[in-house]
Amino acid sequence: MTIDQPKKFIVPIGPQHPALKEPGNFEFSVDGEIITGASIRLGYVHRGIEKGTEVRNWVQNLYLLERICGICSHTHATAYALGVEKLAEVTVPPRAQAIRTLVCEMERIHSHFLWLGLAAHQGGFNTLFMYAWRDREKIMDLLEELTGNRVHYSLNVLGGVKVDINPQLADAIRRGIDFLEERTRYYLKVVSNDETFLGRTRDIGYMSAELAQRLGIVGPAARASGAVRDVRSDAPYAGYQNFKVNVISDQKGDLEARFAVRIKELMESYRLIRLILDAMPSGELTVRVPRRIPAGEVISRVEAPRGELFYFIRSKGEDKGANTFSL
Amino acid sequence: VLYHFCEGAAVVTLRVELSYNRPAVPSVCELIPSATLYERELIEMLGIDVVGTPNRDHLLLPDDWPYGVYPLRKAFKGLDQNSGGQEAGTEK
Repeated sequence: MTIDQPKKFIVPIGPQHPALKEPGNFEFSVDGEIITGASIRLGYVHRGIEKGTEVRNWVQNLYLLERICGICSHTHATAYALGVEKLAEVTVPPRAQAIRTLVCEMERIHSHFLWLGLAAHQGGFNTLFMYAWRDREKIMDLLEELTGNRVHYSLNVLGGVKVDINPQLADAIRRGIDFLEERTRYYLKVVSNDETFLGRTRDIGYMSAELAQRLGIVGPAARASGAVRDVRSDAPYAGYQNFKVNVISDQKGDLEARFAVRIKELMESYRLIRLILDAMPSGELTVRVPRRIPAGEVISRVEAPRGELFYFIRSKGEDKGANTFSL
Repeated sequence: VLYHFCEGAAVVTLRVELSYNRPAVPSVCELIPSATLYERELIEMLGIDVVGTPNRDHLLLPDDWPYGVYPLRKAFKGLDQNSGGQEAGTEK
């Protein structure tokens, strides 16, 4: 019997597993209860979108890329549209940019509520899960009222946006935001006061600023580990030049901090939405964009609800044949 | 291969040109450990050899993907349907 070999037991999880939201394969090497290593395999739902953009025209790509993500679809379309507009050297009217920004923030609200619900569910707090998702419906309804769709809003066109906002709709959104703000204030109180829940979040899953940096963490998770990094304020795009974002961050780096950062970001989104609605610029919604986009390369960065979105777009100067990479 | 480095609003892009026949770049994982996923993707999707990268396993493609076929190269037009995906497509 040879016992000298290092003991290594591998627990495979996935590709299909009830705890996984989407297929993925993880192999954890464990020594007793301590995880000593992990490896991942992805791509079970790889759809070849990057390759697909090469044979579609610029307008088709807008809708294809929107389907990369079901939760942050508008962010993908915005990143792409901003990039292509830069290549085409057109200036999008301020009203269109403001509406884009408005929907960016509304999307962030629904994404953060989704996260809040799921995170509460994983922590065994199913009441909060149900409440958060009920409230999420409010913002989904408003998004549907504004754009006609609950998930893939198809709000953007190259050179502007498709839908306008009228005073009645603005009031409906204001009322919705008032309701959500009150709920959000309550949730912040719950997650920072409930003893049982704090037992599962305080000092749990600690990630230092150095570790976050090493792992390349972005978005709210990085901001909960002390990083003050947000594309919305670092390199403002769309309407964010006019509507300044206060970056929320927290030094603690544990689960409680990640809850706090996301919930405070919700409050920040409410503030921004009110600001945008009150100071909505008037004017056109679209500007004409040529069918053939001039040859060139462009980088487009957008802060998605769950972290930075980075697009690299190359044009060969034809009406199709984009070359898009996103991370 | 393009490397983008971001700090605040600034993005620096480092462009490394490779030969089509024997593309290879050194790994940056010692400096930026989180680059490992992208280096694995480079290896399998574009067939670029990343020298010294810690993990060379398939990340996205299935285990039975034919050897030497890189789906994100411009020359790739799809696998040959008749051979059941066992042979290289139009890869040159």
